[in-house]
Amino acid sequence: MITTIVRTIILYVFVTFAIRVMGKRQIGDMQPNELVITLLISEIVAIPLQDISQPILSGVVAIFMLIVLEIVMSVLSLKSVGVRKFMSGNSVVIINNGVVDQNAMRNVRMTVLDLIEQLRGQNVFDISTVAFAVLEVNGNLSVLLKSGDQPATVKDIGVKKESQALPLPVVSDGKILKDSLKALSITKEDVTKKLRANHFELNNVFLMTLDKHDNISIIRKNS
Amino acid sequence: MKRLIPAAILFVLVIVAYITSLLYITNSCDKTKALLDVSVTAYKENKTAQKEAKEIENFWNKKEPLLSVFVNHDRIDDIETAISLLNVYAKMPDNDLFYEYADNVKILIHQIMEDTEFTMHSIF
Repeated sequence: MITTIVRTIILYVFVTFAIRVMGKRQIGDMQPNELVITLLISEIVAIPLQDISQPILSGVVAIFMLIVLEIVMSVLSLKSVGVRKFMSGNSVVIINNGVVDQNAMRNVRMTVLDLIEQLRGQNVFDISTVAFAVLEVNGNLSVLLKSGDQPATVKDIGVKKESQALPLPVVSDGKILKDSLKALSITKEDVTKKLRANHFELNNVFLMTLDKHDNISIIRKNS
Repeated sequence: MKRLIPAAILFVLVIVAYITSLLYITNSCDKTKALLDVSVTAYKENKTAQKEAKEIENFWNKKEPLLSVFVNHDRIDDIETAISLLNVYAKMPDNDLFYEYADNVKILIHQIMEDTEFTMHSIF
């Protein structure tokens, strides 16, 4: 039993490392080669986990080699269009200038119902409003509506809006986050002053966010 | 190119692990085979090879912990069992089972080396 526990901890560390190297994408956003590597890693890890007669090194070496291949192929994909096409394929235009390309749909084995489902996923319920729809290499459908059906933007309606700043979490669960202070160029004393001005004590703060324009938001901790 | 550094480090680690395992397994197996030959010769000449068989057992017990990092544990256990039986028959004079178990250990060692070697058989 203890053997299984220790082996699980070791393999967990290696798999976490492998997934970190691969990036933070979700399964639905992965390129085909990334998905293959993720599936392979999970399969490889399962063998030494279930069968304690297997040396753990065989699994670790296989994981390391997959990471090496993943890094090398991703660098090659960045450098070469050919490699990128080979590894990930091409995106396909499914709706071109309002016209559904049925040949393209046949080539990617996509049915009309699949197309309508994917459009609904993009909040498009009327296919006639679509100017362009592109099936991306990761299987997602990108949609551009016809100009008359696009929602109005702030620019369209001519409203002046001040530039936005990213609110950063400054206090989390009563603790000041140093990275955010550095990003906002403020000190701990500044945070304490702002809390006092809003009648808060540091210990009572569940979350405090702040942006460059000094917009502040504080949530009190439940007692 | 910076992104390739982790890949290069990992690749070097994999190669080092492979070479280390190859050298350690080959060395251990060759030494065990040599000790087996010595014990078989001693058994033929003296009708007993208790001391030589014990030496094989001690050698294998010393090498076993690190070998289990590289080799399937079932194979190591099989060799351990065969060496234990070899020790039992080494005490009995003129017993053909001693030779059988000596051959058995050799075959098992050969299988380990075959698994480690880089051949078409091991790839496919």
